[in-house]
Amino acid sequence: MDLQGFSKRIIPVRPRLFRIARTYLSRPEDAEDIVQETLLKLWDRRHDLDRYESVESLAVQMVRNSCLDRIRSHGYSKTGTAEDIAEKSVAGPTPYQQAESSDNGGLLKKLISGLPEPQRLILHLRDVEEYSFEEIEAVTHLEINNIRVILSRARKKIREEYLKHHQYGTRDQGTAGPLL
Amino acid sequence: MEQEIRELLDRFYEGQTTLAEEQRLRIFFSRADLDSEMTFEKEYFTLMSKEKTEAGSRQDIGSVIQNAGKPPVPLKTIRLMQLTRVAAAAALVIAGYWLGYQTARPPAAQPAISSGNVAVQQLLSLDQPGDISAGDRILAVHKLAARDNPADTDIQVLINTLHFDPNVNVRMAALKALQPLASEPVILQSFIHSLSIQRDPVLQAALIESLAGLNDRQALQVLRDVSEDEQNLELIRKKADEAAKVIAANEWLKSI
Repeated sequence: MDLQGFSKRIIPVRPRLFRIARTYLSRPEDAEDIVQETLLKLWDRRHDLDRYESVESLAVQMVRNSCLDRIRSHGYSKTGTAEDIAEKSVAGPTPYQQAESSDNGGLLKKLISGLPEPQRLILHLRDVEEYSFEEIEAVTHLEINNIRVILSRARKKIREEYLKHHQYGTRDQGTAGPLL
Repeated sequence: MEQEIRELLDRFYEGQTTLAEEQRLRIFFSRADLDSEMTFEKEYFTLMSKEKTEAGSRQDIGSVIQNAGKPPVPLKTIRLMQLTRVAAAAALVIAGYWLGYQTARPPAAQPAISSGNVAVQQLLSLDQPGDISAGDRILAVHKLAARDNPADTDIQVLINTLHFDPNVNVRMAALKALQPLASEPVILQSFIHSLSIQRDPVLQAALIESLAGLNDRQALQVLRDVSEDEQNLELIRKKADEAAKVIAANEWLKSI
């Protein structure tokens, strides 16, 4: 792949790679580093890229692997798990938390960042990047039926935790909402 | 309609919806008037659409490669170079300020409102949308919309933004800013023209609703065109068809 092909096929994917890296890494500058490194690696391999059916899938896989490596090697701290947030919500949301969740989806973002890795990636690829199941299969190497199951669990989990949070927020005492 | 959406949602939570069906859900939940039982879905789909506009820093790696014909420089190196440049620039600014302070009094400040006006309009300039983030452009739209008596140039900037801004959220913000002024013929014409060129279904749906609310026969042709264009989503075609029928029916009632 020459310079023109690289610019045409790889560079437009950059914002998408950044968003995917951000689902793993809480600091934007770290996500930028990963994307930059990935572009560098792809440039080094530019003569081999034409044999890949989807260079984008390859780039997404590389970003994913680099993010996982970074988390493992640096003991990267994430923003918190869904369970943490659910526990915190028992005391009821503060006015700040209420404003945050209603204004900019802050609660939803935290809940999504607390999902386990395959669920978070698949949810992002499908619901933000609007990937087809075949494209997700190419990135994750999971079977489509399995992808559907993981996606279903992720969507249900987010909804369940969100409703639980709001139920606690509107009652002094209460029980968790029904599972889907 | 709601029943159909509930059935779609059931399948959505089972991971069984197609991309087209999920697009229908996105459009449905972009509406303002929704059942309070569906607050989660509204917030969820809004967040997903918003996330898609996040693009990281504006550093153009493509041009780095093209200019140098070499691989991209690692970001850490770039940041160090930038830091050096910032330090040098800061030293120059401080030296310049000190010299100026010693030799002359500073000139009177420019009128804040007029310079602010031009600055806000420049943020929305179509020559440089890539340099200004979508969030900043939305803020600029809100600033223009907040004016009590917007100038013709403000309105023209908003219309251009509605037509041509590369980011759909900025175009949506421009549409919302123009809606209170929709009784003006020029705004009606801009909505009609915009509907003829927009391909994003969320914006198409909002424009169709605006035109239906204005109930002007001049919008009939574009609504019919959208309803007949097979490239548009079925939901959008249906919506445009319904709006055209309502406007046509009102015209007929006026004539008898």
